Amino acid sequence: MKERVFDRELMELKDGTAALISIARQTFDLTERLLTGQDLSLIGSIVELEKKSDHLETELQKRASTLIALHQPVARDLRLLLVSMNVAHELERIADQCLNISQRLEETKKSLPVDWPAEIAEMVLRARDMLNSATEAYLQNDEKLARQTIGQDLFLDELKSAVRRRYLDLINDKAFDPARAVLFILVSRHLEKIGDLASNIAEESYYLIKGEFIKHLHLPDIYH
Amino acid sequence: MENSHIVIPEGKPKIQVENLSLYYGPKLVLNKVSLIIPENKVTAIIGPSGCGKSSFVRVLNRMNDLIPEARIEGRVTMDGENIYDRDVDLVALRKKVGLVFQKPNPFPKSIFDNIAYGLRIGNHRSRAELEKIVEKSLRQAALWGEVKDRLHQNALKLSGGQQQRLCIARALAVEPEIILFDEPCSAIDPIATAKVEELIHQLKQDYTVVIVTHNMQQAARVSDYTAFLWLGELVEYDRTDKIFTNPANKMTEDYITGRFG
Amino acid sequence: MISVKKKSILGDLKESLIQKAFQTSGLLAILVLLGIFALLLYTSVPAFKEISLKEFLTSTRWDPTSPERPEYGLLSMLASTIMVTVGALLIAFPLGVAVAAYLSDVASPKVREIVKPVVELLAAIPSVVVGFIGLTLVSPLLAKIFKLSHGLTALNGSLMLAIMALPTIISISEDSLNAVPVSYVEASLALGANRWQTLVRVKIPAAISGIIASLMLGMGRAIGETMTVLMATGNARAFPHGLLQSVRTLTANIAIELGEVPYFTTHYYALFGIGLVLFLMTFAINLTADLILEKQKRKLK
Repeated sequence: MKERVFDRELMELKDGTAALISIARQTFDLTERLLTGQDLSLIGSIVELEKKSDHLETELQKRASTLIALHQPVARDLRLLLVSMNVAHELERIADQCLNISQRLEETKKSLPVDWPAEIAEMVLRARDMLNSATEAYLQNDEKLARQTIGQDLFLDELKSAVRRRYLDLINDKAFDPARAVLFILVSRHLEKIGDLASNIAEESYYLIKGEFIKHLHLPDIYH
Repeated sequence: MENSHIVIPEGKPKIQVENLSLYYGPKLVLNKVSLIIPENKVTAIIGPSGCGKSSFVRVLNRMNDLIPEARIEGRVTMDGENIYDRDVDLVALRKKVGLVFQKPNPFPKSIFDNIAYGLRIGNHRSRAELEKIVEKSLRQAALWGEVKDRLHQNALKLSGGQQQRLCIARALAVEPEIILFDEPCSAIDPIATAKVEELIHQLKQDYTVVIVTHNMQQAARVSDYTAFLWLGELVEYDRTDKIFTNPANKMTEDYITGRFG
Repeated sequence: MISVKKKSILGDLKESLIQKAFQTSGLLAILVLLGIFALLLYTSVPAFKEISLKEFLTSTRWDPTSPERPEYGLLSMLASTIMVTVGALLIAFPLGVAVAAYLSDVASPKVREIVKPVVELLAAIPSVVVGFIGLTLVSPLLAKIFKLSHGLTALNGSLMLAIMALPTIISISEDSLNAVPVSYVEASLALGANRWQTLVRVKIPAAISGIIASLMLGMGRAIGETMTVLMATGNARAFPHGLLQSVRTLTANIAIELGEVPYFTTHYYALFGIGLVLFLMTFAINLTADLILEKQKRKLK
């Protein structure tokens, strides 16, 4: 089998996506530290990283569309290009969500420090797991990992709804500081979004590996 | 062969090829090929040079009969009739199955006489009838506008792309049911190629089209089903969109992505 | 780095010498042709001091040795030449084209391998042998069939010339049929034509210039042929009124009389005049054939 020049260009593109993955993971790590330690000085780094991911994403989109135009790829080559474009886009939006979280904290810094409800603590863990496994599935062509990650965002959805319901009730009953309640609701929404995007990345990875689209895998019965 | 992936297409089968083997003397050119070509669809045959794809289409209208040492095993049925039966009328078969060749090959006659050729060798028709069919065929081949004022000019004066459309019109004039294209664009420029491809798209409404091409992008653009032949064996046969996004066989994938061939 | 400035003067010289050599041999052929033409012209012009050109070309009477009034009209012999030639071609052309078509289209490679050399061998038979066959074999047969006193007639000459023109017609026709691109044949067959239709409607029309050229070359051969007609046609001087009469062609007349004629007489010069007419006729025919063949080559390219 021939090694093509095109193969090298595809590898470079994938390396670029890998770099973007690492930026997104760093951003999420910082965001996690920001949430637990509530040290607002971290926000500067998050802003920086988000900018970087923005640039890199644009760069990758340009390169991928050039490769499509010049090589008219088919089959696996085409899937790798399309998927990399989509994954880059989702990663950039994850970094956005991290930035959103840091901005929410900045806005409500008067209410800080806060004790996060248990649901949000769990959401952070789940979102991180999803981000890691979805991107790992992409990098390693791991079909099983992709399949396991798809649909995990439903848990985050449930948790977000729980937070929202509880704190809206508390606001109505005037039993809780509304600013904090709104912070919880918004942060949970951002985390849920991150899970959503990570699930998309897993779906994309599955398409890359198997050439088939997959949506909404069967989840354990309790969630139906 | 092992790991071959061959689907049965949707729609009415027009041509059924069963265990077809073709030999040129001692040389095995096609090895136990089986596939079903659906009616009113475009089926592309792709594969590296020497894979037997041109020989395959020539089996379908028995042009291989011209080669004395060609020998065939297996069955090829069209609308349920085995075309290699003893009582097959070759003339009728070739009227039913038209062939457009790799290089445009108009006769050194006028445009009109080229198109009318197949009609004149058949039943006698009146001049008015001939004129009607010539116009209709040229219109179908999207050439009428370019030649209507010079029907009696020598066809060899046309450009390569026009000549190829003339050959398509000539094949259409005898009103076949199946049209075979043997690398129809390999000798014409990209703009003419685009016109021929557009034409093939339209032809499938009335005809069953089989096209051999070494240009994979062309197969992807014009066909509904694609067969990948390699060393005389059918490796994969599936819907074209499936083959070009997610081929089942590794060899197909390596071929269409340009890793070999 | 490859330097491109390597041209040597010696190589240049060699090249130009070779070119000159070829040029010279080509010119030589033209010179010989012009020389023959000049010679014929030079030796025939004196004849027209005594003979009017009009008499020469339009009188049917040729009697240069008449003691009262010598006559120098070549029309009878011209008519005889044309009659024998046309007769020969009427036989040889259809037959030749049919054989060519058979060889190029129908015959198996084995048959072709045998028939082609045989046809070419036919061209190698000396004309005197053909004439001999005409004299001893065919003419008695003709006499019997047509109940004539003898068979030494224009028809006999035509038959013999037909044999001699056949190889030319067959081999050139076959060559031009074979030069028809296979793609034409395939296209015709793919449209449902059978082999006969393909031959008649595609191959022969595409090869028509070559076939006509073969006819012209066969004609040139027949017009110029001397020995065969001399032996086969009876050589009567009268104006011919049919194929079953004895005739004397232009060539035969030169052969008969040139041996006996006193040199540098009007008769002598007049015979060269006949030679000039023959030369111009065959030249025109060959030239036409060449032009037609050239056209065919260009067309099939």
